[in-house]
Amino acid sequence: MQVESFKGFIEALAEDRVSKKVFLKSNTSEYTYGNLLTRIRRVSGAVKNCGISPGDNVVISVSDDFEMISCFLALLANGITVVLIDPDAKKERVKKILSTVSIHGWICSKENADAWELPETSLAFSVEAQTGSSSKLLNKLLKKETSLQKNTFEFYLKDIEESDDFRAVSNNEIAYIIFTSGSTGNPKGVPISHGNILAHLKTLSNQYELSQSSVIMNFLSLYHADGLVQGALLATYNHVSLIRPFKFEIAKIPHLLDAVYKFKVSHFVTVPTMLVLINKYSEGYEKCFETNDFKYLISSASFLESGLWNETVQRFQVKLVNVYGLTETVAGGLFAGPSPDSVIIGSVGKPVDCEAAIFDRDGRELGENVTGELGLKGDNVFKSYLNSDDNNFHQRFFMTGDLAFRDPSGIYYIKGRLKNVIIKGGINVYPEEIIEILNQHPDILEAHVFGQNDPIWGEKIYAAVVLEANRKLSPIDIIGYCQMHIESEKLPSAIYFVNSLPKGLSGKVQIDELRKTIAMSSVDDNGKSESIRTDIKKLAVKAFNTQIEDSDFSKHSSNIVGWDSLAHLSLATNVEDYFKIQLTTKDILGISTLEALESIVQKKVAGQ
Amino acid sequence: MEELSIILLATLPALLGCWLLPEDYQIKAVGMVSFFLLAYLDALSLAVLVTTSIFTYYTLDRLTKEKLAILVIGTILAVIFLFFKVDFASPDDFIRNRALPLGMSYYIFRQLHFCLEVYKGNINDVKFASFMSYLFFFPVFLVGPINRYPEWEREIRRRRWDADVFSLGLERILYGYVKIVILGNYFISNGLYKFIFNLGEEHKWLASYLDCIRYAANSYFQFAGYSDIAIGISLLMGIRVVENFNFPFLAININDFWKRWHISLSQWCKDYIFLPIASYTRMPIIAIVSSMLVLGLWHEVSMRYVIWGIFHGIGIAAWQLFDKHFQFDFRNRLAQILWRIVSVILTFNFVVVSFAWIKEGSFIEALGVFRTLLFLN
Repeated sequence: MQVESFKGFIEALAEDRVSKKVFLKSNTSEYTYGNLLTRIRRVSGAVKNCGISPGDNVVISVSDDFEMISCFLALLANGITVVLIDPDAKKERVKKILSTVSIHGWICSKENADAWELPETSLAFSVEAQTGSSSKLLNKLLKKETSLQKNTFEFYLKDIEESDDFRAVSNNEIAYIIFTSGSTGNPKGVPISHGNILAHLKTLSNQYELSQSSVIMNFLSLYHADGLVQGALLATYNHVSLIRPFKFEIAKIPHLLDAVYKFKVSHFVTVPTMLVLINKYSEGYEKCFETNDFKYLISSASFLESGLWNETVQRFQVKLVNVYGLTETVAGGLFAGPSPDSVIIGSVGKPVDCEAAIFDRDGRELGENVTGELGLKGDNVFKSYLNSDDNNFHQRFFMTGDLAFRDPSGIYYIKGRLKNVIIKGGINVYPEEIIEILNQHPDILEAHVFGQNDPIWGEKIYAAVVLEANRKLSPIDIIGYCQMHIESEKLPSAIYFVNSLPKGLSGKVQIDELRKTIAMSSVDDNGKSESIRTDIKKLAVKAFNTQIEDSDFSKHSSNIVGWDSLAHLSLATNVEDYFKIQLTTKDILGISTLEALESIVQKKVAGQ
Repeated sequence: MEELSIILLATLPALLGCWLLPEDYQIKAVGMVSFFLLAYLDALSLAVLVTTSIFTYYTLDRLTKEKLAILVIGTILAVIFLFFKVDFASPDDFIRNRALPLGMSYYIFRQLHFCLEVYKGNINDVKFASFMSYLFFFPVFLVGPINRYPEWEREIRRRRWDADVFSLGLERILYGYVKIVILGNYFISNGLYKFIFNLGEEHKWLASYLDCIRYAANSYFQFAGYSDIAIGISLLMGIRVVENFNFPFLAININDFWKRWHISLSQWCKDYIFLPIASYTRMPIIAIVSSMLVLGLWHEVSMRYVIWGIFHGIGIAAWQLFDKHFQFDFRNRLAQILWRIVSVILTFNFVVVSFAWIKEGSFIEALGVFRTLLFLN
């Protein structure tokens, strides 16, 4: 059942058939909708006791998924605006955020509250997660309550009287504010109204064909739109389960893929960077989506390249929905899939429940096949940035800053960006923010930051640094300095020291020139690696008597035609002869992929 | 049949434990069923398993020099294996009358696999409880297959209640039962045996040949049947284990046969005997014969299994040489089909005849069978 207000949204959780359903499988525990409702009522009671009024702003910055979602929903149900701040945010960023928005309360860890120097407010909860012995078998069998640890949120709330007197909030009222990185380096607040969310949740539910038996798996951060909206809110709106059993990391990819079967996942919301890694480290897991329950793999947050899209679909034999959207459009807007008429690989599909148009620099609407700036208009699109004079609207269309064109069948294609922004793993990073930090370092004369295409992250952040005369810094020193001031996802992937930054007549840094200078310095190493791979490929073709592609390098030996035990030995001895190296018995036993062999050869050759 | 009854009887409490207890305790409960079952049936078996398991785990955990750890574990497990399996003492000697610990052939090989994968870096940070649950998993404990730890760990991770999988498990148990009782016991051991017995002296060649087929077919139905039951019971617990047989008598060469017959053992020998020896000596023929020798000795430490293993080792080496020097590339579809049929018949006969080495009581009797089959009598 879909509801039209957050009040109804929460009240529906009390229905018998809903309250017993699993709401969240998190890294710490499993919670039902009944647990969620109880917690929302308690938080509501606590909020009312503190005298927080509708329309007030309250910061939520809690690591625990269940606490975060329950606090978020409780505040929304009481008409309070949530200001979302990632618990990993640095003090500088939080300071800038708090300079643009006044807050009336906060719920976050004590550690962050101290570090960020949050102001004294009537609502100030420091949330520490309950740890330890909650799952003892004896307690479970005896249905015995485990004792609550002091200083935990649960401990604070246990004596609070529950409140279910939720408020009917108008659609225009602001539900939450997410801060994106602004183009000037200052965070930009994106206020999303109750109407925006409800309209978009309805669109997403219909588009993804969610039903009572659906199960959503989403590992994205709850402090970003794709994690919050396409995960927690979408699940709650449809009363289906949300699976977030652990934090995403490469070593956990097999666990993630096994979770699809284990938890009967029907929708997996992810981003292209995760898809690259999943494709790379999923040997032997190709059938993991072939379950009776699975429906759609959903790629969101950044551009999905045709090659990655094709590879994913072919490898996993899965239906993929590519979503285009921004924080400003709640989460999505254009969808390539699931309806067959919108699926064209390489595109972002068609607008759903909103309008899209292409405009030229002068604001004239463009026709088919002509590239211009993409504008979006609809109930899911926000009204304006917080305390900002920027006019990002034209003819009531929000101008996305993305260059796109529309083909005759109404399908949209993204061609590039107008704005100077690096999109790393689906997260927008404005170079100015990092440049500002680097330029403040006493040993740095000047610095520039730019995006470099990367097959895994989409883009990586590169920094070119000019040092003050007679000063010495290592890349590690600079990264260490950056870590103190900016979030981990914004840290440069590589630091290059240059004598000067190439500049044009206007004094603007010429990025293409800078790229060339940097590329020259790393060409030697890459050339050597490529040659080893090519040679191994030739030797493998000879040993296995079959064609070998680059994509075969990550395949397990059992999945390569002709790689039997004799061919294995033949490959090893040929490699020894060719590269004039000696492989140990352990080396030979450890060759389970050509990539593994490549790595062994690289080490041996480098050691010669 | 006794083993079958034991396994089926233990299934019920294991099933209750693995579906009714909290998730963290489910697989441990299955291990506990094995523990109590072994304690009831044969305390010595339990002692050997517990001792070797603890020894293997803690040696790997504590001994920082991994090569030394592998050497120590490998030597001690091999000595224990040989001690219980060797068959050379006089009939009244204690050593001759010792009991063979239940399931030892499987769990010793599982432990060796575990050690070697730790050495190769493919297994890391395994908790003791998880290691013990792997070794004490009773559906595969007595009759195999020799399942591997990484696959086991994955199955534990992804297991959940699935009615389709449960139903498939029941189906596999039924297939296994039919293979053992109806095909193996009734048709082959009873029906075909009587037919061969009644053939008379004038059909001696046919009787010898059919007796080889009888032995091969019965071995297949018994062994594949037990594997089906083990796989089926595992499925009832939501765990898939590796297949052990894949229509072995349709193999097109002897190499192919060993990819279809007792797959988990032949893969074990390939990974842990063939590859290390081949990598070390760079002499594949020695590695092949050594692997097949170990494969033979796994069944029984006796001369007849040594000969049987070497016979197959020579067969594989000969086929490898043949395949290297004679590549047939039939363009005609009919020629391809005929070549395949001829290949299957040749492989089938090689395999069937090889069973003469182990079905007879002595080397002399086995030679007698070969003389008859080769019309030398």
